[in-house]
Amino acid sequence: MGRALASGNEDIQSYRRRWRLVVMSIVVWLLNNVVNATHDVAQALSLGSTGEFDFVALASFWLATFCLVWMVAGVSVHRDPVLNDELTKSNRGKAIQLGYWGLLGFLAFAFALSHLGRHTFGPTGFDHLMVTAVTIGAVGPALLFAFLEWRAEKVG
Amino acid sequence: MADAALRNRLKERRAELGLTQADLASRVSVSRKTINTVENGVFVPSTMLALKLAAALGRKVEDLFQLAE
Repeated sequence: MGRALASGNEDIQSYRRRWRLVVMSIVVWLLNNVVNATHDVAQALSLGSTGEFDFVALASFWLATFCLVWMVAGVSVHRDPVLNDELTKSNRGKAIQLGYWGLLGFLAFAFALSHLGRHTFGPTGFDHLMVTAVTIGAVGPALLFAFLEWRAEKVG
Repeated sequence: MADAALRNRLKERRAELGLTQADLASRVSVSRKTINTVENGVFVPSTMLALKLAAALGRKVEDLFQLAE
């Protein structure tokens, strides 16, 4: 299955880089679902719930975020320096910057909304906030990283 | 000055030596994509990589890279 992704005279680095992006996209999708599923299970079992916060969902969110950051940070590819060269580090930096500023903006927006709009809007579930935060802070950067890597091959 | 574009003669010099992007990439231990993006002005290489490229192509750094006027 993996070999089918490599075509023509592509070099092995290009093949491995593409395969890594496919795996990363699958894991991002899986982890996003894990956050939702864990929250549902926690609700069903009434585990770890205190007031408005669900600590099982919170723990799974941070676990998923840590896994994504670890993966995007390329810890797993350090065995092959060529797959973690300057271009990849630069692309990863841009992706992480997007996550950082995106999350900061989202937090500011959520904070402002919780104070200014509390009489206008109904309460938002913690799980919705978490899914939005995962999307902005992890899935968005992962997609940007994938796009930048793809563009690097197409340019020229 | 800080936003000045960087021009390079990497492609011409590589062609003179009959090297492919993959050949040059393996000489300086980066991926072919990195060479591709440097040649097309998408990615500005570090001083280290610029020096490695210059050494691999037998030229001085300033012969390969110039600030655009």
